[in-house]
Amino acid sequence: MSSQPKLERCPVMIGVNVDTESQDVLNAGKGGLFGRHSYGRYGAREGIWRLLDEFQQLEVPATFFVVPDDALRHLHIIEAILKQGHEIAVRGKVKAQTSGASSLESLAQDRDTLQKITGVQPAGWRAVNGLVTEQTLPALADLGYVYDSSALDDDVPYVMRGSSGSRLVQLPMFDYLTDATFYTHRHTDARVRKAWAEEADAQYCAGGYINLTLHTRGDVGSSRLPRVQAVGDFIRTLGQRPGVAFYRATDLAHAWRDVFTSTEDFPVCRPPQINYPEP
Amino acid sequence: MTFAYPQVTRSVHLSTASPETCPWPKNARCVVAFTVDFDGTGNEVGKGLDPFGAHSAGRYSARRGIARHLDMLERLAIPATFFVPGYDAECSPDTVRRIAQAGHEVGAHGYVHEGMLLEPAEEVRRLTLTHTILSDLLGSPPRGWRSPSGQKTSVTLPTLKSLGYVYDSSDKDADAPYILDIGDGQSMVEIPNNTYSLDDFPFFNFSITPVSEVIDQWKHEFDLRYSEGGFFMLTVHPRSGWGSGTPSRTNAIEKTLRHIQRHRDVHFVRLIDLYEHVSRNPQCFDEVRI
Repeated sequence: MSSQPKLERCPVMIGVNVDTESQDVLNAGKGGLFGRHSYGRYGAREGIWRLLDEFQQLEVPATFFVVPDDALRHLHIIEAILKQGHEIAVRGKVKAQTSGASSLESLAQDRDTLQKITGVQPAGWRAVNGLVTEQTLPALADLGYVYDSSALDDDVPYVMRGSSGSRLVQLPMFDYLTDATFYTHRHTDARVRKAWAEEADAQYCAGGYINLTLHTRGDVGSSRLPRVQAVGDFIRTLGQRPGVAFYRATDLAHAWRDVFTSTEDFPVCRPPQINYPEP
Repeated sequence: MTFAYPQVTRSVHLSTASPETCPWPKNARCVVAFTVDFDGTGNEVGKGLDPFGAHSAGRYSARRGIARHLDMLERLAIPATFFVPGYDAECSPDTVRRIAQAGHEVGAHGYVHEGMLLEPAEEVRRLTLTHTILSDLLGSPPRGWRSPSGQKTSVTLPTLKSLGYVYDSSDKDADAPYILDIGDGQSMVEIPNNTYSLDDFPFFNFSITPVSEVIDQWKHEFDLRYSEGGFFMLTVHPRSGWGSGTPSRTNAIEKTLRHIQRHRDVHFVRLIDLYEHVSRNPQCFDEVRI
């Protein structure tokens, strides 16, 4: 795929959230990375390789969102992802908890760490815990990121521009096209297949943009044999539709902002007329 | 807190050290383990609950579930591995003896199915207590252990090793057994399980899935594993509630196991048998240093 592909009618991106240890570390406590806190390692040992094989067979590009700490511990995985032509983007954090303090420092640090490993400046960012502040998106744009893919606020991508003139593309995600939405609640693989198929139908009919969000973990991710098969079947079926084309997220962001030149301001949160209780 | 990151030191994905390809026991295409976690009243008692009324599902294990599973296994002529908490063995010694008398393996599974991390001294005490209870009851010591809540601490494996355990079946990080290098020149075998899809608890406790759909889920995952060859392990619990001791759910297990038996070159093992195979051929398996 060229670096500047044409924008087709129904662009599809596959975002793979890589979890090896960094998520288990948050929950394991003094017990360490064993037992139910070793599902992340399943991704590193089994899942990622299985997904890579599947994408290679299907000849589709994907974008792997990686926490830099995880990347540093598993350089051979990063190498394998890049070797197949996929994209590496940042899976980062601006605040640890909903009510906690936020910091934008990691945005540049994570970018630099991944750049050192891959030799390429990462173009994309996704919040590892879904938490994004009002300051995050303009900061990403100013730091040279091309896109964020953390939001749930539209059916199709859109482009933001700040006062400094820097732009950022939003590549929204969809809960019903995310594996963990279902597997967290221990639904069967068959139900996930059904839900994804229904959702993709609706997206396709509504204007066409699909963001399939996968995880590499052994518990809530798409790494076990039947789940990777479900991913493969979904992609294969989708790919048979007219106008469907698969993109690395950075290619989609570039193509989108070239075609849709109008921009909007970065989103702001209007303060509500209420008094929050003292923490 | 500084974390110790387990290191995979032998894997097909490492250029430095790759396992050899070796035949499975009996030249099987797929080795299958059926494991039953007893999970009787200890689960509730360990949480300070009276195991009666709404909290009595654990009583079902000894009253109904175990016997139903033993009958099923006898019909199918399948050897299994039962992981039993020490407290449950104290409460239902005859039931646990019957498991062993039927030729199945009995492993240890905590004292009161501890779902929390304990201070090291208390953890060692409970591991030893359960070990003594099961050893005295059965006349031979258990050799396998499964963490009741899927957690271990820094003292767990060294303590188990010193008590004579040879394998652990608690981690979730691979599809096949592997060698655990636990330091000081000592090793154990890890036989990983999966409590998200090859287990009854996730479907009957969280997603409240109809039994027929659970059968399809298990069969399908087996089919894919069989097509690749390798190791397949299913874990169930003989409780009522989220377990599988009841008629409809034991029937679901039996349908799944019969489906597996209809495949050529499938070999059912107890985990201790699998341990023997792995320990005789360590070069054929991944290795993880912890």
